[in-house]
Amino acid sequence: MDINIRAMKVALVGAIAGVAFTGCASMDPPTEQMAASRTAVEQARMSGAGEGIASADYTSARTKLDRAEAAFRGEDYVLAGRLAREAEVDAQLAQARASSAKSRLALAELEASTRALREEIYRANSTSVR
Amino acid sequence: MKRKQFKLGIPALLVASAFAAGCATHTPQLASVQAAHEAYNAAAADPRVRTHADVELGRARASLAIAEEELRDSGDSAATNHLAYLARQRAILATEVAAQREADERIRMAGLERDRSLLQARTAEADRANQQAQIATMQADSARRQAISAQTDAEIQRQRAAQLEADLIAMQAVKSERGLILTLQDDVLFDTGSAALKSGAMRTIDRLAELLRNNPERRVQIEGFTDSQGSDSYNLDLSERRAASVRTALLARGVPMDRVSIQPYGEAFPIASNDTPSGRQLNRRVEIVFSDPQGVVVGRTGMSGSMGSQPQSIIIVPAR
Repeated sequence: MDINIRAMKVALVGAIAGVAFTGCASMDPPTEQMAASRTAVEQARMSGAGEGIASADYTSARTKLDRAEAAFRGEDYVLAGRLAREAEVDAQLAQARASSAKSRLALAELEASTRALREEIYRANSTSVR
Repeated sequence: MKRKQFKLGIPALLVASAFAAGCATHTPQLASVQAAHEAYNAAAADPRVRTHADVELGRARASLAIAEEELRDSGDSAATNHLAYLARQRAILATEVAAQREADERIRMAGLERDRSLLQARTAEADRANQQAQIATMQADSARRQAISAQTDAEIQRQRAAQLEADLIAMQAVKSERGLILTLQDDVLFDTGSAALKSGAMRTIDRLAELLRNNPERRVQIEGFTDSQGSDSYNLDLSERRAASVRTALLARGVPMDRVSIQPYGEAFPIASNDTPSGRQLNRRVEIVFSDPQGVVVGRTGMSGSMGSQPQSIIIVPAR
């Protein structure tokens, strides 16, 4: 009886551990994260991150997403989730770099044209006034 | 805003240093966590990030805390590296977002500045155009006034000339090629052989002085003539004294000296025969020759003209 109880206790602990272990190994597929990462990479591509200053981050995102897809197909959901999350932040960073580069270029152009305008006004004022 | 950030900053710093101390003593330091720390610190030190990407910086901070928790609790380096990577990328993301928002903000300001400059330019241009239009209007006005004034002056002069002519003709003056000439018989002005004006001559002299006052641009030449009785020198002298007598009377009535000249001719230029008493009476005379409106008196030529002689030259009397 004692032995039985002890054996039962061991079995219970083992079962719980086993359930916990299998639960960890066979976690739910990160379907939502995969979808979010695909969207992020696509948005980065459409914002022009594929070329120029953001291209390294974009390439990294693209590569990680591909690897995530492969891991997902191989049912290695832990790796797939991590790669997908990294692909998402890489894509976000690529898009931010592309956008900020565009804004800074636009600012430089605007400032140059404003400077030209101001010079033109100055010349007009200093030449045509009697 | 700044004070609030400062308040938040102190506890965050304490927590971070506690983590760091914990890591140093109890867990092995990971390069990925170190990199995430550096990225986060760089972002947090950038004032543009505080202003424009505070939410993004908060996310990076939360990510970093999770990575450090993982490192401390599980020691799973793969999971920690992954979480630290996310934290680092989110810190850099905050920096980029801040840079973009700052640029966008400056674009907005530059756009406003540009609009202001354009507006100022247009205003200045309009002001200049306005000024030029005003100057043009003033010039046109001035030209118009001058034209009117010139017209008016000419009209006034014409009217005054007409009035003078009418007045002199009323006094029996004659309009000749030399201009208006008023001929006064000596027996009306003087006693025989005398150059003193008779009291009966004064009305005529008064009238003449008044005409000269009313026509300040005119001059007169007073020419004296005698008949052929007596010597030439006596006659010349008498004609001069009589002309001078008329001039003196005019000066006494306020006519300026430079507007009255005299010219004695003695017995020259008779207008009638010296053979009869009535002819001689006509020849004893004073002629008042009026200048044109410019002050020019047309003179006679020669000392020995005959009846009906025509003027052949012009004597220009210096203007005023």
